[in-house]
Amino acid sequence: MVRIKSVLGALTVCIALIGYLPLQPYLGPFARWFFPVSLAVGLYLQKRGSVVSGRILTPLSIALFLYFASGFTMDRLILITADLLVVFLAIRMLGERSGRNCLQVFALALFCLAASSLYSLSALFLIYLLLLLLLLAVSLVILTFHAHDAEIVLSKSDLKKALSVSALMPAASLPILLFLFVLLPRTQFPLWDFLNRSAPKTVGFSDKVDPGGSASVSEVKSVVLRAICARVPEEMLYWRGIVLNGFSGNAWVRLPTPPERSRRIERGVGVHQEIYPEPSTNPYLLSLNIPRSLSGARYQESEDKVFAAQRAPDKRVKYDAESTLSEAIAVPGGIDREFYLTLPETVSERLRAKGRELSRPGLGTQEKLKLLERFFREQRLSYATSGLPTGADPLDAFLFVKKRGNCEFFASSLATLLRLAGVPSRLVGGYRGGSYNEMGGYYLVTEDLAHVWVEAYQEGRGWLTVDPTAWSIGFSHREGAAQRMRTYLDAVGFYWNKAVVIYDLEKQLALVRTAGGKARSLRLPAGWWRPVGRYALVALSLAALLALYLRRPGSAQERVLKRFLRAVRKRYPLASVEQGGLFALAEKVDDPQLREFVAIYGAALYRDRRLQPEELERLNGLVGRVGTHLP
Amino acid sequence: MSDLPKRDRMVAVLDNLSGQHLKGKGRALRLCLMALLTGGHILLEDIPGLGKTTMALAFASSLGLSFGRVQCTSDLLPSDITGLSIFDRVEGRFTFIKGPIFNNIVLIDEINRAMPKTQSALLEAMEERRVTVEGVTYQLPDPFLVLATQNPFEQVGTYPLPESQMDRFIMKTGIGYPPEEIEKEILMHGSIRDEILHIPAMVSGEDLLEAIRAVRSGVYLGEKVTNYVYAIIKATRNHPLILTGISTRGGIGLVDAARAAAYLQGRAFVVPEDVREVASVVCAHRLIFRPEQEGVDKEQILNAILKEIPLPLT
Repeated sequence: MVRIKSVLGALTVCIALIGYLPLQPYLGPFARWFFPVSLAVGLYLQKRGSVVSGRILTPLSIALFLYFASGFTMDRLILITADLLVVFLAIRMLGERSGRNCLQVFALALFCLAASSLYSLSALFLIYLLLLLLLLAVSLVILTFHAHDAEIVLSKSDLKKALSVSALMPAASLPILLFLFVLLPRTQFPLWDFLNRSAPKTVGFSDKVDPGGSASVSEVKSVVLRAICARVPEEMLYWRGIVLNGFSGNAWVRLPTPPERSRRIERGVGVHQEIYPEPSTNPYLLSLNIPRSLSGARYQESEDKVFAAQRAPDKRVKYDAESTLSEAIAVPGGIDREFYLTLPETVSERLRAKGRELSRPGLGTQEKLKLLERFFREQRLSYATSGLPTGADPLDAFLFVKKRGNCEFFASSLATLLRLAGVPSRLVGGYRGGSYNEMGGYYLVTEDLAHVWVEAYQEGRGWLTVDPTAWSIGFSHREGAAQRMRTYLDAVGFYWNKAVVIYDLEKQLALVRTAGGKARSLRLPAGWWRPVGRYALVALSLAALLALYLRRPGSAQERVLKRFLRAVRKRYPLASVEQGGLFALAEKVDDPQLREFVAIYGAALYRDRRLQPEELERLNGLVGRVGTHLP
Repeated sequence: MSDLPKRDRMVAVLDNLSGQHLKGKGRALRLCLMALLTGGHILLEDIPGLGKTTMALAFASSLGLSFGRVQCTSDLLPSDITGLSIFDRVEGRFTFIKGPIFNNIVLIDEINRAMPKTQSALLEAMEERRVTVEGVTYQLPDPFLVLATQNPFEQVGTYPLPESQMDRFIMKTGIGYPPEEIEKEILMHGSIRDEILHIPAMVSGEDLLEAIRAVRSGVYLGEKVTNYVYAIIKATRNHPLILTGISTRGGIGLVDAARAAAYLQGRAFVVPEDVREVASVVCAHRLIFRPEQEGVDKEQILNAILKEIPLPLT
């Protein structure tokens, strides 16, 4: 025995929680704490059998409304609305659970969930929405019981029946949901996001490398991009974004590239990637080093293989990239050596000396690189993200004093030394590594993988990729740190974005257009109907067999019994043959046709013999007349 | 409808008895007749004064059968039931004086007051249908029906029948108070003990024996009903509250009683309703519950089990 009141109470609490939880991270501190507290107080009071009366709650709501309304400004509109919704929801949890109040809770929870979608469009929203849909349908049915009689008590089986039937309703509406999803317009980013869009991040990838700018670099694990592609050897996993080729003071920046003509890279393994970058403010389109071509986005390609989108991908986009895992970009026309040998404003004496040492004639680029690698290794430089050298000449401090730094130090000092030694060089910014999601078959690149490496020019071969960070001690990317669970969650979120969020009006129109085009240009080969007809025939007969199997009409005996039972149910709705038995029924009701039927049928059934054809005929005749002797 | 020998006569006896002399005891009478027809015995559990003896007397005389009665006490000896040999001085030898058990219908009053030794002697006679006294075996008359009664409330100084001996009775039932109207009528007219003694016999012993044979071999038990009976037995064996379900002997009793019920209905085959009609009186007293469930009403549990098992309809 279950009291409908307690079921309704539990459902109402669940619904209120579904309203509160998705909105919780965005709430002001008051609303954030007010809800759980009042929920707990409400539950406690209910257990004791008392409620806070409306005479207290109504003035409280008005007072809180005035309090929040006083803080109203246009740019805090959504924040205040969300807070108010949650506060009202919380107040409802304190009051008594009348039908009217429950309905208010349902409506408020729905509004809260809707408000949360103004902040975030993660896959969680779908889960909350479906849950709420289910609970609302069930609760509304329960509420009708409650409205009929608040103290009603149902047996377990009755309750089960009521719950399962009401749960069927949202389940049945799911196909409509899918249909509407394809049809209805939608937004790609949370509506209210543009108001509280955070400033561009200073950590990670940037279009300026200025080692020594700060003593430590914080690492953020936010996602940069996901790329569907085959697995790539770990040491080739460089995501190329930007090339920094000149200086602004001591900082490496990107200057307009001098005209040069790089050749299409032919050798090496080609890798196709399907890249889904997270919305960001930088316009550079990342792809595996070295990209050959991009498609799917509007961009401008520079000679140094930098692809800049015409505008930053501030909404979710997708593009395809073709890359070759190669170590060099060939430039048959030669380069502007002068441009790539420019030095920063300040270069310390020790660096200059080192450069002079390397620039003595007779040394090729390869030898110079070898010598530099030995030099870096001998200096025993260690990779670190904190305690970085700062001051007037951070590169000098890095190489000779502190001997610790991050990739920016390694790369810029190597590039500077190369330039001092007469080797044209430049920095390449992007990402290094990425965790491969086996389930989704994609690489996940996070902001903390931001990396800078060096390209050195060798006459005849072109720009060679050199990563001096690899010469450090203690440099390793934390492979496998991403736990399995996180991988799965990320995959789910990725597919949600891929399937739902990216799907927008453009795609809808494209779908309609292609469908229309396909229908118009439909040219069926002659005789197309023959295979189609054959398949259809096979499918139809299979379906018919299945239907026959499922409906198994059984023997003539079973059929006549079925008809009889139906007739009895119609005529004597209170008599249950299944419970009482045929003969008991014949005795109970005064119906000669029924009695005769039972006598004939029962005699055959319980004497283990089949009905004779004439008996069957008689029975079929009798079934039609069951109950007809009565007026 | 009545291709069954003597069925109409049996029903007539029942109708006459329950309509004229023993109003309100129709069910108990019917069960007694069923027990007689199956060759089994019946245990009536009820408080004294509800007309058990009257019923047994009327039953016996209207069927034209002899009637014997034993009032059990704790000092009742087996020989008090079976009879004993007495020295005849005239003839100079022992002659066997038959005890009350040598009757067609024997009423054993308050069987639980007899000591176990007497009880088991009695039960043995019921089972074997013969009595052996001093090396001589005497056949008991046919038909033979023992109507035992016991008082469920006065338990001081009694020897309750163990379940294994209960199993010997094909049925156990109560009589119950008569309906209000009938009881008032009885109050007005007083006891009918004398009247009963003069009820004329409506059937002969031959008729009865023929009817018994008809029940035994003339009523068909089909496969479907057998399955149904088995399902009931199995359900009692698997029930969580029940320690020991219905034995095979219990199953046989159930089938026999169902046959008798079908016979009285004028049907030459058993239907599940017959089984259901007799199931509670035949089976309930054979169930042994788990010690912690002693207080549970056996008939209720059995009826719940019966409700769970679907009737075979196809």
